Amino acid sequence: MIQGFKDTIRQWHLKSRVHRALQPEKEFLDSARESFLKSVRTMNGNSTARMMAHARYWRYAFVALFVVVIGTGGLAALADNADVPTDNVLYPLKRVSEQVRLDLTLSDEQKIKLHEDLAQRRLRELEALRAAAASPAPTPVRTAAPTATVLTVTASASRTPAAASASKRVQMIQQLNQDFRDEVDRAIERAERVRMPDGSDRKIEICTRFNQAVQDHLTSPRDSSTGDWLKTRCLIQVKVSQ
Amino acid sequence: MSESATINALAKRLQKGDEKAGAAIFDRFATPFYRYFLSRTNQKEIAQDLVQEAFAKMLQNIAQFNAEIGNFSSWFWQIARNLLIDSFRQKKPVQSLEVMQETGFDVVDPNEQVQTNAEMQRVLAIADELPEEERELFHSYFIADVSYADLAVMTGKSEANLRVMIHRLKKKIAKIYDSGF
Repeated sequence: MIQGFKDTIRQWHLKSRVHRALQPEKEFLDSARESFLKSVRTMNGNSTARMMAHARYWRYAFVALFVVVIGTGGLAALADNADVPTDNVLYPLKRVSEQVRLDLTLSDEQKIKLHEDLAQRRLRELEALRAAAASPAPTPVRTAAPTATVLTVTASASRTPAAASASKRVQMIQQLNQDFRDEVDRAIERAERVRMPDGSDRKIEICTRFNQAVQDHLTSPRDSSTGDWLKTRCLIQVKVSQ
Repeated sequence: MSESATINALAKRLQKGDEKAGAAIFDRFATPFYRYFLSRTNQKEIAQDLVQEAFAKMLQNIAQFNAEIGNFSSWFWQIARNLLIDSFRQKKPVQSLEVMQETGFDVVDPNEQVQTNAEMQRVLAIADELPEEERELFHSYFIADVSYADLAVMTGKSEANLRVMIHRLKKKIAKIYDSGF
């Protein structure tokens, strides 16, 4: 052990001796240091170098943005596809996705069809919202979707925050009523401008379909204004078309 | 904060053009680099040139260094090693250590024990005769004080493997030394 200790001391002594023997001259160190710091000062004034230093961060930011955009787009498409109810956190994304679909649809006939589908959605949402408000206990609600899609809104009442104020619900119902009217309006306006290839009058078809839909789904006095509005709108349209 | 983290922080400041960080990095690396280059080339002028080239190259590429995922010390030692390899490729004449000892490496303390001086010369002469890989390890680890972590990056070997190699190298040099080389 003592021999090992002596060896370590001797090695350390030798190492320190070698270090001192290989010590750079002070003049060289001073001049090299000054030359290096001068280059640093030059670099400091060089905007290209600074831009390169930041280039990596820009790359990360771009990738992060790309991921966010793709992720949000995917969620929006998912929400749209699943026709999420109004109390779902993805509902605003669903509305954005619907708007994008409208913007990307070029054919007039397809646009009319899409406006009609969206109006039907608003009606179903109104019905679900009204059902949730009427029944405090969680009750599965079967929607009367014309496409035969069954959307079971499990415990929709419990998902609607229990503490949500009545005025907030009324606001939402009013908004959905307005949105429904807007969609029907746009469908009718577009139908007015476009002559259908088969010669059929789409305005009358639309009015008839929605009159029936409103009668089927919105029987509550609260929603009667929408029914009245639709009757007025369609009477005017039918009158004009005749 | 560990030394590696401190040096990385200095490197980040240098990337932004901080002169004080540059000075600290110079003070930390200039002497070990000089020892490394001098011990490998045995020529003072070449060693001095290589030290300056290493710092210039580091500054030129500092924007590409990523302090979040890399270790500046290892990265800088890698630059130094590549410069040395390039210098060898240019076939610059290399003096033997023994010739250098005779012609001029500065003995800082003339009152140093004569025995220690003789021992040092013998160890350096032994190192000069080692195979290239062992010689590089000897000069990097024993003379330039390169850490295991930096050596691992420079040589592409694992730290555990390097510890074993250096242990064997110590024993080998001691054996040759004791046999009266």
